[in-house]
Amino acid sequence: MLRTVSLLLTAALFSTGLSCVVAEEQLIDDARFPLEPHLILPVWGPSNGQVAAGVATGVAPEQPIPFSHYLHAGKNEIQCEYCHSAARKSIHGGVPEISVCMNCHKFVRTKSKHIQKVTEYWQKGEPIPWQKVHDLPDYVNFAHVRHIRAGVDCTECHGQIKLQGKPTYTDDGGELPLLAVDKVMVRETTLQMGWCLDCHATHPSVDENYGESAETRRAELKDCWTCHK
Amino acid sequence: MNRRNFLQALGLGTGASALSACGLDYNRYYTPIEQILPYVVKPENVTPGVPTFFATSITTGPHAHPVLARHRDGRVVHVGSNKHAPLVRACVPKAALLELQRHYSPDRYKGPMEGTAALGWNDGAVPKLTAAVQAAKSAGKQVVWLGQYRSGSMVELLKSVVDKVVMWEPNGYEAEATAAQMVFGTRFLPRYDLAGASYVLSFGANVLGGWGGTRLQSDFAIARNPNGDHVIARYAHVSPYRDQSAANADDWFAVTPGSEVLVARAVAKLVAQKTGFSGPAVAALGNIDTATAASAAGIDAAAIEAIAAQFASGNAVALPGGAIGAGRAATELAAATYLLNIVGGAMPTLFSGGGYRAPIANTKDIMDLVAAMNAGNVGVLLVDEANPVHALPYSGFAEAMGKVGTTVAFSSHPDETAELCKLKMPAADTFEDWGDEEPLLGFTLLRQPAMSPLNLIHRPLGEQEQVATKWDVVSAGEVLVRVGQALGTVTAKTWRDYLRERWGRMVFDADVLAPPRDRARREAEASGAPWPPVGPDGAPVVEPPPHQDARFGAWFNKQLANGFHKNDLAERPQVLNVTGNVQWAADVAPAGSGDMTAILVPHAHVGDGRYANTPWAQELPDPMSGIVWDTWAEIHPDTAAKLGVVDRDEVEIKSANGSVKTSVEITKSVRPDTVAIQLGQGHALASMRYANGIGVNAALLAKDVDAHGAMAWSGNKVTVTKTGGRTDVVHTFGGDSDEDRNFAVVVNAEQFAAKGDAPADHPGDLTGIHHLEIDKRLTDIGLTDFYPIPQHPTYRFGMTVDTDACNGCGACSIACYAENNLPVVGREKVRQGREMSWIRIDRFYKGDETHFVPMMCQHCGHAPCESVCPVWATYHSLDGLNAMVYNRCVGTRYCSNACPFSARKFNYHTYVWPEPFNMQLNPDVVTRTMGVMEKCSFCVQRIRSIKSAYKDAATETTNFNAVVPDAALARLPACAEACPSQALTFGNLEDPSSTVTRTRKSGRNYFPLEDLNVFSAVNYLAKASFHVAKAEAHHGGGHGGGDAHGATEGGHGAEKAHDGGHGGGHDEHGKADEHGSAGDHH
Repeated sequence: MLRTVSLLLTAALFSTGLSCVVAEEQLIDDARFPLEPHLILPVWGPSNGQVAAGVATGVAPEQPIPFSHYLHAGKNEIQCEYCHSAARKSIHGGVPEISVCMNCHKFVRTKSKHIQKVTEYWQKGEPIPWQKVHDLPDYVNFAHVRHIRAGVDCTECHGQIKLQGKPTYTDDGGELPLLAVDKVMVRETTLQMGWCLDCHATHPSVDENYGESAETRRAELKDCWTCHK
Repeated sequence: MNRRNFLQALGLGTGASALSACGLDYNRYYTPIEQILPYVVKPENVTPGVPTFFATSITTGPHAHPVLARHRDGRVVHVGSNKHAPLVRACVPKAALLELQRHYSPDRYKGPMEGTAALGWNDGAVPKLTAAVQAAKSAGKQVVWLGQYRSGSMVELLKSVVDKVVMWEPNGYEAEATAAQMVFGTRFLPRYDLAGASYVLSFGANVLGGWGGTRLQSDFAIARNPNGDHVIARYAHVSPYRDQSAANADDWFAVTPGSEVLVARAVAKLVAQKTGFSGPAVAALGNIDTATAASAAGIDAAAIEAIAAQFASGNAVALPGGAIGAGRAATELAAATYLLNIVGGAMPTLFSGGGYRAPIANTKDIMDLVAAMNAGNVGVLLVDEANPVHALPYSGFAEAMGKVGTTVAFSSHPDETAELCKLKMPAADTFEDWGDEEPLLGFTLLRQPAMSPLNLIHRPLGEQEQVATKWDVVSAGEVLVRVGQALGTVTAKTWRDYLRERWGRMVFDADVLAPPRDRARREAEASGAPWPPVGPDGAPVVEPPPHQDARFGAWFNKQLANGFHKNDLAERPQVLNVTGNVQWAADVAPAGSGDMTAILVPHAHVGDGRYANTPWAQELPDPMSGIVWDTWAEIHPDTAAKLGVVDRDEVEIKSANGSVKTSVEITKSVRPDTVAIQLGQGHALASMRYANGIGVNAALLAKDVDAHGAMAWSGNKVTVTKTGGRTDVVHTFGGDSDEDRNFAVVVNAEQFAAKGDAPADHPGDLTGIHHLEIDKRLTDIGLTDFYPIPQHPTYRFGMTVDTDACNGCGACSIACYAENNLPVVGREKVRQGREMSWIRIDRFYKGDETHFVPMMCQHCGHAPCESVCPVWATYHSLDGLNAMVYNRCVGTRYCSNACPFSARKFNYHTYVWPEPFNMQLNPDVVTRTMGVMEKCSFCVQRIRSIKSAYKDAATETTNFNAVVPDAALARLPACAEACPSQALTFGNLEDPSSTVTRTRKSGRNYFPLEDLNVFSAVNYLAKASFHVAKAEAHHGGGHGGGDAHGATEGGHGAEKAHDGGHGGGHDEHGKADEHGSAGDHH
């Protein structure tokens, strides 16, 4: 224990000095070629649920609209790709543009406060600032198109979406009971590299799609540059 | 306490202390919850994450080039080649990429201003301009447009709005245009077609470095490649200065400055005698005799006769003086080359009248304009990117601007002239605007906006909500249309409508409407029916204007999608007739006193100064000297000895007009009696943050025009004196010699022409590089390779570099900066050897030859870098790529030390892209941070996406085992796509029919540092030379053709046979390490 404390102290003193020295060094740098400040060691801290990919699951940031996948995809059985139409074409799954919401909600439940909020964004011409739940680091190249076309189901990474955002209704005296959603979107998977690789090593779609060359494909799926930028 | 706890403790301590001690914001080191901002309404044809390509064109001077702008999620991130365009080879001009960076320059004018006060467009700038134009016109004063070269609809629009159009560029084509006026009676630029030439004779034109446009650069590479027709174009350069083109020439004749015109006339006379040509062209040549020309030029008469003999043997074309030949007889030199082309029979196949026909003003016109401004005759001056205040310091332009009622800058970026304008109306640039250009007769290029103007850039909403930067630019055409409406001379509603109307009238009518109309008229004439046809009421039927035809919209959209339109005028050779006579100046020698002549050279990348504020152009090393971010004076070693100066000493160069002080670069690229200095630098303007304070303005040495009004840049005698000071010029080159280590290899051109690149009996037949059998003692025990040979199931990606085609222009390197998010580090960091360029173009001198050798990661099969990485951040991928996983790299730099090619670059800092440069970043490539090694990835993001595209080629089903064909791979990486000479070819080495596999069997194939047995994926093809002896065929046996590496890897694991003096491979290893570590610090 004593050793740990002393190490911790040494580390603290050592790094305080260093980071300040380096911060001063910034002054000689040319403002035309800006640099991030030098930090010899990366700053580390607890995640506080502020990390969208990592060890913790259950990340569910507050969203601007209490959208319910339970109602849309579950109860009303709208196909995923009706709204997330880029998933078969692009690296991005594609969060639907507001015009897609308005295709229905020009007519459906227009009196709901939440829909009115969507309409407000639509009329102002501003995007809805959704909070990212499934966020991969920038050095990862993840292509939705390859996974969808290989036959991987959306739920395998995104979890039981159809059960998420289960609504509760409260009567606030308005014309309609107000829909409330506890957690709009929850990340049920870690999205960590090991989790990706496990699936790459075992997913049955590889055998189905690649037949005789499945082993080669498995090797490719293990190759760093398949996913890393 | 284990290692993990220790690191955590260390990390915690740092975090807490850094936060408390230095007040750093530690929150940004967490991964914050990001936002997803979807479209409100998604634009048609745009899928987030999928690039969209817009056909457009890039213009530099009179050369427009068709390109595709790659648009990704709302912004242009790269410029690629347009494979469908005729007349030009698919490539990306260097200027296209520089324009891309300029587009995102943080120094761009943000919106209309009067003085420094911001204005609105509709309620401020446009009404003010309209009122000023109307006032000037009613007061009888001129409205003058002074701008860069523009053609097509813009010229027509200008003629209906302003009184006088002056299109001028400092190192423009004024001598060529004036000479055409003199010789052929029309002011235009001739068209050159080099693809069919077997002899190219330049009198100074930097044809491989941008003169005449990228089209000529590509055409020359075609003429130079003998595969198929067994002819290889020979290139001779007659000029006092060896620039990048001359360095590629087979013969360089270093004549005295100004004497090029005499040589051209003497050659023409001799050619006329040999070919028996008679006609007005011979008479126009005047009296010149070979001996006089030779003695004035300081070369042998035999040399002139040899040039003439080559020229007379057919398929020869002469090029004028360009910027270097702009001496006191600049115009006459151009005229002499025209006459030479005519007597030599180059017309009409190689030299014809189908060139650029838009206005080109002389420097004399600027001087006349200054006089008119001073006399108070100019009411409104409109400036469009022209910068005479900087380029012509003695013209008095700045003072004269004060005497003009209203000066308006349409320039999108600040420069000396624009800053002096009272009203600034920054125009939308080439990626934001509609437009067209006519680089050749019958070949028109269209431009469409590839993104909306840089006008609303939001940082993510939420806590950081703010508009980061706001640009408010409007197309210059749009403003002129509005002014024209007020004047009543323009009826179109918008600039786009104007363009459509003109295209309807000029192109659609001739293409679509005219043929049926002519048929109907002929029928009517035959049958006696009235023409034009009459309606039921007896009145002639009035056809709607062509652009209102029902078919026009679809037709025009098709032209936009192509980006070009060509009619048969472009294919039909335009014969030229000599109608005028030329007054040959008696005295062509440089004026003034002094023992040296100053040659003012446009900077290889910055050009005449237009890209001075573009960091890529400044950071890219000069092809010949490797110097970055500077100007320098090139001085011959003999002169240097006489002056007692060494490299980087400061000298003062003084002409009758002025003087500059700059650094010495000792080189044999100049004659002993000349000194060459770069133009385009020396800006002193804080609003040009990257150009400010870089170098000196060499234009201070020149003042006068020649007898015909063209600027005589190189017509001044100077004295050069040593100041005793030292300079801090930075260059990136390691040396002039490849130390006989097979970086620069040469083959006999005739032998190469006879054999081409067909598979040779033995690889290396033409290079004479012999290969040794691997030591049998090692093969017997299986120890030729310490590590197992990598296996590649489908692909092993490789590249072929044709060093004969490469001319060192640097387009590949800039394309790499754009595609792979390479940071610009600035001069100080380049000095420390920290430039990040993934491709460097090494320049070697070997005998009389200058070699340009592009060097990138060789993606070795036995990579020395891989085995030393302690964390497996770099490894050999299944596709044969030497992969680099950035987030695994811990920055030991062992790999960089091990790399014998110095191909690896280390991030000593986390570089930040000032807004809005960051908008250009390629989202498919991660930006690297401090402490991470990086290097060429063969554009793995492009490989990944083309593999994906081929799997999905069938829309319904996915073909998972699809293999990308060779044709789709050949130009895949950004460098190979950009190369105008197609010197770089990419492909799959596992495919026996691919180009890269075939070239490995060519007789001129070689591998740099082959003796290290690194099993590289990049092979080189030797440069062809007319001056080396033919190689003798060798049959040394084991050249690796069938060894364990497989048939495609000829020659690996071999040592050089004839270089016994090196003492075997181990010496070479020692040197390699030295080379590798020296690479960071050139």
